[in-house]
Amino acid sequence: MKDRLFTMAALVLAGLLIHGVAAAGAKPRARDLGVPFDGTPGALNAITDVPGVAVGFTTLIQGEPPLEEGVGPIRTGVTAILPRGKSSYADPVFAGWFRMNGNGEMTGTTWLEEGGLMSGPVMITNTHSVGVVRDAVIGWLRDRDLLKGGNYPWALPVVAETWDGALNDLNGFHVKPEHVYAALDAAKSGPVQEGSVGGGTGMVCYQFKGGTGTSSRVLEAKFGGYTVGVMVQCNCGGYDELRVAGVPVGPNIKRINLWSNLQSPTREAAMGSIIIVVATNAPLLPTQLNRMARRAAIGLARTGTTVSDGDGDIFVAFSTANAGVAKDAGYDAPFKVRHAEMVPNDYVDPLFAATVQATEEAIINAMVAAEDMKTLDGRTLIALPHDQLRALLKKYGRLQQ
Amino acid sequence: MSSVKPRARELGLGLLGEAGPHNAITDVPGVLVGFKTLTQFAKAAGDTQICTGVTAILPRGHDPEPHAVWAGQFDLNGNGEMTGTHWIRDAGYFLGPICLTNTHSVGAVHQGAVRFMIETHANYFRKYHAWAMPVVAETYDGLVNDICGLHVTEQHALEALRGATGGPVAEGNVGGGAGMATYEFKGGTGTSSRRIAINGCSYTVGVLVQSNFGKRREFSVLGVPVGQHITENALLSARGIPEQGSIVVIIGTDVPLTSLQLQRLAKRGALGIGRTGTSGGHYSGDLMLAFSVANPVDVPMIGDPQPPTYRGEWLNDAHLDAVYGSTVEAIEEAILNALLAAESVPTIKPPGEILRAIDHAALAAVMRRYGR
Repeated sequence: MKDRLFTMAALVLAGLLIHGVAAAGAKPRARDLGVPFDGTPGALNAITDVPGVAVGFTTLIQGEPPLEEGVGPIRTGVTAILPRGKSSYADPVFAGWFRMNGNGEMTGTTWLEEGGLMSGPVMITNTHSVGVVRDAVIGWLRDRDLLKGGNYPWALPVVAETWDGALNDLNGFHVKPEHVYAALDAAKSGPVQEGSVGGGTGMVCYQFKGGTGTSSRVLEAKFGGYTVGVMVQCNCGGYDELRVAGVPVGPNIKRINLWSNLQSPTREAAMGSIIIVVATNAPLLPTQLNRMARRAAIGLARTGTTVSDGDGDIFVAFSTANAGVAKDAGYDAPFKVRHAEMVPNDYVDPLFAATVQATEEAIINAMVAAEDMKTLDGRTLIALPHDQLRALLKKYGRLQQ
Repeated sequence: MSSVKPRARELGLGLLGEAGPHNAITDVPGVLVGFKTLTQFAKAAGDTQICTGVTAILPRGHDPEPHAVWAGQFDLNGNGEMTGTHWIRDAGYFLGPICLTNTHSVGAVHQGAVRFMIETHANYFRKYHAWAMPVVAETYDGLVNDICGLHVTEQHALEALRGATGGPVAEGNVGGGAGMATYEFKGGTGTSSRRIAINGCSYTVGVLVQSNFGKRREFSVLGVPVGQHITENALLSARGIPEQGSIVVIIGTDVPLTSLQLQRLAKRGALGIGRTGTSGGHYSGDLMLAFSVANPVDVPMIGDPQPPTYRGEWLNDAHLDAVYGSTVEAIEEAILNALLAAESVPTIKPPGEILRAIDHAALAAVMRRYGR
């Protein structure tokens, strides 16, 4: 019976995953629609352009409104980003982080700040599933025999969240440990799905359907030729705030206002959050990565938000360079100094610019890839309409032909 | 599970300050504490040993109205986890319980705490656009507990939370403190409180620690270098293993303090643990949280009209030192209480040893030698 249940769970899971893959297809991305962006993207224009970075999703979409707590509808999931693939735990990366507005959760930042490094994956899910995802990461590392060689006999996983309670039965706790395992097992390099996938499944961005988005930049050879990749789970922004390439798109596309029935000040503002993950293969030290994480806020600002009181806008940046440098030395091993590489501060500006540009594009990519979804109260939350976006870009002289 | 051993005050160690009626964090009005302790000792080599649990602290008891508490947070050394701190640092308050558990069960307990918040504040979570960000902190109990077995469940957290009460608080091997080690003695949960008189007004500060830190050689009690005299059974030092512990210090008070003042109070947590001798090891997650039950914070009922401003009262900084001094004393005493209440347990890492509780008579003998 137990086996049969497991098989059934696996089949359900597989079905949901296939749904995600099928949804990816050959959808146009923001630059395919003629949105002008600064800088040069990498081959995939994704966080996976940073060598070694692997991404996996579990997407849970099941049922239709109205809300029945504990039943559905379910529109949520798990996103896994592994800085060094399966070696992410045994070989920590240097990392930094920044909290733009702290009405949210990202576990693991206490140690990230203290140690300047991160062991294991970065996970993103919904607000009330942080707990299950966090412990399941430890279970996965244990079961896949990946805890060995870590720096400590304990793990402090990084798990972040945004709120999907407008579209998902959030208090039904539908994310289970096996969904976390599936996202981690599925993590790979190569093209990355966008829109309503993984943790981004039930997101709302500038009162359009939001979700998961990614982008990358490659630096000129004279600045080291490094790659910067960004991944966002975008759930933020006010109704009128959205700017695409500087064009005021938000006020000019008619759609529902999710919070129009509210009398509080939040009616005019935004509620939501954004998690931004910045990856690079440039050899940066933790202090430099803290600075890079702050630049994600600048990229976010380009899309128009002024960041509301209700936002949990928390960003993490890591560098895949300096492999082995932060590995466990062993307190019982003979003392030996280690040498780390760093980009001189005189050359960090191109990396900062790349972060800003890729963050902006990742957010617009998330919105462009998303598809309409019914809210829990039965209204239709539209995705950013491609034709109207193009028309507005054209009107304001910003359409890239 | 409550301890029958004498507490630090009953041993006549010469502790300063006036404690509240229970000498516990529950002396702070409205603060409740609950535990769920899980123990299953290995009978033979290779058996799974479970020695862990959950501690729940409810700053506002089981009140169905969602009123947050003002708070401040500080990390002496950040090799640890405390969830909910992003909002505490930005907004200066938090809603919901504080839970303490082992390092690998933060997630299970987090989910239990979210569920508890939804059931306690049912109206708030159903009617309003609400999200839960509970405070869950941890220390590592892998010396005596199969920590990678992930034995703590959401249900265990709910039991600790639902069962939280006022009055005397169990100490030693209880709740999240079940499997802890302190200065290489058996450690655990400890608590203490102080009454504070400010211009004729009476206030309380209460402290609860989950104590799991320290190298034996550094152990000091009220200035007496106890760790240099009681050197037996120091399991890690004897093997050249560095300190692997942590301590979580929770400070509650009814003194009306702002979040900035509470942040400053949380820093005094480091002074309290410093008095017991530690130098704050690299492997340690020494995390402090201070909250005040004064000035209940209205959480936004999103959708309802919002008042334009709030009014509150807060302590004149000139009186802060009285709060600081009492807090440092209470933390020192809470750590001693955790040590004195703890019971020896067999270890699994290193295997087959005993993590021994401190011997009260031996401690008293050393203290006597130094005129205490």
